[in-house]
Amino acid sequence: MENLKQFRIHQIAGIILLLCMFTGTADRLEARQFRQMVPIATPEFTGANLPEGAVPVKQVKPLDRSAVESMLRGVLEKWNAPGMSETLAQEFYDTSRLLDAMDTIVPRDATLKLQSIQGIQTLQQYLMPGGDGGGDEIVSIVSVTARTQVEFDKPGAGFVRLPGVNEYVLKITEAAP
Amino acid sequence: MPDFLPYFLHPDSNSVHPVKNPVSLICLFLITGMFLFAGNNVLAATTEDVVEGAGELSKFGMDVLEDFGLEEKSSEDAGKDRLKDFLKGKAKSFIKDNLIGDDVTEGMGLILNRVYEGIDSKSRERANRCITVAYNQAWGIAFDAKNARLLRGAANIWFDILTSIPGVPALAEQLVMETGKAAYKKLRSQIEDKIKAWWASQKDEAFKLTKQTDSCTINMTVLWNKKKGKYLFLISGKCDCKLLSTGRGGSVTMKSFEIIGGGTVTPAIDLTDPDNPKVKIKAGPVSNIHVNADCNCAEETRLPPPEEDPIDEWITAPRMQARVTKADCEACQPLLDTVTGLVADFNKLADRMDELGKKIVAERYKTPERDANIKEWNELSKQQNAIEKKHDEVYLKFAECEKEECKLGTESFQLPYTSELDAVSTTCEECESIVSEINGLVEKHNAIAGDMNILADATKGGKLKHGTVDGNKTYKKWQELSKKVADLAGQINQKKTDLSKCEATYCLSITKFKKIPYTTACDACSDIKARLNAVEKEYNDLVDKVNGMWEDFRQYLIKGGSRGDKEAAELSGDARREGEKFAGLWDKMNKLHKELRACDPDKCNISEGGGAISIGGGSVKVEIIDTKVRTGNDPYDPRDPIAENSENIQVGEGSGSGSVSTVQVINNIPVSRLSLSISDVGCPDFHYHGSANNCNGVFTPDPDSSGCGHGEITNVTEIPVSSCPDL
Repeated sequence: MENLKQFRIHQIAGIILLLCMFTGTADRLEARQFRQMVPIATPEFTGANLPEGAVPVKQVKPLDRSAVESMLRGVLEKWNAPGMSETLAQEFYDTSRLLDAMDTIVPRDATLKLQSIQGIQTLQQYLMPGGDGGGDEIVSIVSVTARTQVEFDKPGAGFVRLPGVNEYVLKITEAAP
Repeated sequence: MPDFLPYFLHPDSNSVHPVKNPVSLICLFLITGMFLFAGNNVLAATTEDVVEGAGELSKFGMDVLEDFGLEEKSSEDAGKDRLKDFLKGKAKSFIKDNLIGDDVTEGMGLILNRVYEGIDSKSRERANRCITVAYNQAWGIAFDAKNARLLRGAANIWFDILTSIPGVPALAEQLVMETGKAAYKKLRSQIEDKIKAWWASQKDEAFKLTKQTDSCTINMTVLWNKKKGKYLFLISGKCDCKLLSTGRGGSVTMKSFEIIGGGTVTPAIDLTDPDNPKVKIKAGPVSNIHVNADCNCAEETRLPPPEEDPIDEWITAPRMQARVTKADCEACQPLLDTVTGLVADFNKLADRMDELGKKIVAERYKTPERDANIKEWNELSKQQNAIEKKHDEVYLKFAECEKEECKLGTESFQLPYTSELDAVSTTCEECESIVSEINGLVEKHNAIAGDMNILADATKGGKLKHGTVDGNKTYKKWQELSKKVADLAGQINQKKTDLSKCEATYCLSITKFKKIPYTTACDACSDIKARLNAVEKEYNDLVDKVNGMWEDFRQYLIKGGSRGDKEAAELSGDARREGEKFAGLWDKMNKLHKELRACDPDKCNISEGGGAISIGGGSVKVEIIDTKVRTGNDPYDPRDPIAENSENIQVGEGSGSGSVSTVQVINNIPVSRLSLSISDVGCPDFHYHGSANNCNGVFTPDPDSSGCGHGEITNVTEIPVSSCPDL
C-alpha cells in the first residue's frame, strides 16, 4: 500500500514535469508562427475545413493526369481574356485586384502558355449537393505544379517572355457518379 | 628481237635480194677458177683462231686467187692485187654488174642449198665464242639465200635439156638401140663430151645477197664456174663490236668476220628411161671452208655476259578499290576524300610497278637495269604497304566518324535559347554566405547560358545542319554547356532550398504577404476598393511592425541573448501580441472582398466565378483557388501578373512590372510615410495622419490631427517616381 502511494506521487510529479516542459516549448513554438514556410501539400481525409454541407468521400480518387492537364490548359487559355474572371474561384483572395491589374498592367496581347506540368496531386475530395435541385457534385481540390510562360510584344523591347513555375490549386467540380 | 634467237625467227629472214647476171664473166672466171683450184691444202687451213685484220685472210685469199687463175698462172703480186680488189669490192662490183639471169636458177639454188648445209654443219660444231658467233651470223644469211628458190630435191636437179643440145638426141637414140658393150661406151662418151662442151659454153652465174641485222651488216657472194664445174662463196660481216649471243648461254663482242668455202658442180647423164634421157646436175657439199672472225674489241665496249637467273614472268601489282565515294554526312567527307586519295596513290604506284614488271620480263636475264627495276619495284611495293596501312587507319576513322557525326542525320536544326537566372538577395545576415554562393553559381550559369545563346543565335533560322562540321561542333558544344547549366541549376536549386531553410531559421519575414493598393483602372466600386486599400494598408503596417519586433528579438539573440531571458520573453511576447491583430484585419479584409464581389460584377468584369469547361462530354467546372509561385513569374499574382520574379515584387510605393515606376502620394507625401486611420470623429472615411517629409524632402506636419489629417483616401494620387526625388 505504501509502495502504491509512493508510485502515485511519482506519477503525478512526472505529469506535472511534463506539463511544465510542454508549456515552455509551446511558448517557443508560438514565437515562430510568422516564419516563412511552404508546407507540403497533402491530401486531407478528414472533414475539417470543408464548406458547409460537404461530405468527404470515403477514399480520394486521384483525377486522371491528362484530364487535369486539359482542364488547366483550358483555364490558362482564358488568362487575359474576357472570361478570365470565370476561372477564379470564390476563394481566390484578390480576384478584383487581379482583374484590375490585368486591365492596367498587362498588355492586351499578352498570352499565357502552358509549357509543362511537373506534378499533379489530388488534395481533397468531397460531395456537395448540386444547385437547382440537381444531383450531387463531387468537388476535387487538386494541386498542379506547372511551368508557364507569359508572352507579349513590348514596344521598344520587342518580344517579351516571362517564364515561371507555379503551384496552382484548382477546384474541380463535376457531377457525382 | 634478241640476236641470240634462232635466225629463222628473224623478221628479215625471208628477205632475199637476187642480183642480175653479169654480161662479162672474164674476171668472174678468173676469180672463180682460182678459188676452185686452190685445193684442199689451202682451204684446209681453216683456223679457229681469231685473227686481226686481213693478214691471214690475205694469204689464204692469195692462194685461192692463184688457184682461180684460169687464164694463166698469176704471180703472187697479181694474186695479192686481185685479193685487194676483191676485198675492196672492185671485183664484187664487177661481178655485180655482170650477173646473169633475172632469177636464181635451179642450179644456183642447188648450190645455195649446199652452202647453207655447210654453214649449218659448221655452226653446230664446238668452237670458241667468236667463231661460233661468226657462223651464227653466216647461218642467217645462208638460210635466207637457200630460200631464194624452192628446191626440187635435196641434192640433185634433173634438167630436161638433152633435146636442146645439138646432136645429143640422135646419139641418145642410138645409145638406147645399141647392145654392144664397147659401142655403148663409145656412144655414151660422145654424149658426155657433147654435154660437157655444151655446159662449158653456158654463162656462169653469180649470186649476191646483203642482209642488215640489228647488230651486223652481212654480205654473201656465190660464184658458179660452169666450165670448171665448181662454186665458191664468201660471207663477210661487220658488227662494230656489238654484243652477240653464242646461242649457248654466252656472248661476245664481234668486230667482223669472213667465211669462205666452195665445192664442185658436175653434170651427169641419166638414161635409165631411154625414152626420156636426162642431164643431172650434181652439186657437191662444201668441201673446204675457212672462217676468219675478229672479236678483238676495246675493253670498254665489252659488256658482262648475261648471267643465269632468267625471269620469264612478273607478278601484277595489287590494286585497291574505293569502298564508298560519298560520306553519309558532310562532316566525314574530308576523311573519305583522304581515303580516296590514298587509293588513287596506291593504284598509281601499281601502274608504275606494272611498267617495271614488263621491263623486268623483257630484260629477262640479270642486268644492272633489271636489278635497278627490281629494286624500284620493291621500293614501290613498300610504299604501297605504307599507303595501305595509312588507308586502313583513315578508313577506320572515317567509319567512326560516320557512326558518331552522322547519327543525327543531315537536317537543319535550331537550338533553343536558355534563360538567364536572376541573382538573389536576402535581408538575413546569417544567410548572406549562401546568397553569395548562389549568386556565384548564377553568374557561372548565366555566363554559360550566354554562350549557349550565342550558339543558338548561330542556328537561328536553321542556318546549321546536323552532319556538318560546324553543325556538329555547335551542337556538341551546346550539349556540353547544357549539361553544365543543368548541373549548375541543380546546385542553385539546392542552395535556394538551403537559403529558405536558413531564412526560416534565422530571419522572420512576412513582408512578402504585404498587399498593394488598388489602382484606378476600374472606377466602379471604388469606395469599397478604397476601404479595402485602407485595411490592407493597416495590415501592411502591422506586417512591418511585427517584422520589426521579430527583428529586434532576432538581433537580441544574435548579440548573445538567450531565449529564456526576460528581455527576450518580453520581445517575443510583444511581437506575438501584435501578431494577434492580424486575425481581425483578415476578417475586415474578407468582408470587404465579399462586399466588393457583391458590387455590380459587370462594372469591372467581376463575377462569382464558375468557369465551366467541358471535359469528355460532361460539364466540369474548373476554378483557380490559389497560386503559389515557385520560380519566376506568377501570372495570377494580383500585385503584378507580369512581374519577372513574383517573389521579389516590391510592395509599397508604386507598382509595375517588377520595377517601381509610380508612387501614391497625398499632399505630395508618399502615403507609405503616413498612417491610415479608419475612422475619426468628424472624418468618417479613411484618411491619413502623421508628420513626414514630402517628395521634395520638406518636413510636413499633420495639418489636421484631430480631423481628416492629410486627407481622405480618395484623395490619393499616383505620380511617377521621378517626381518624388526624396524617395
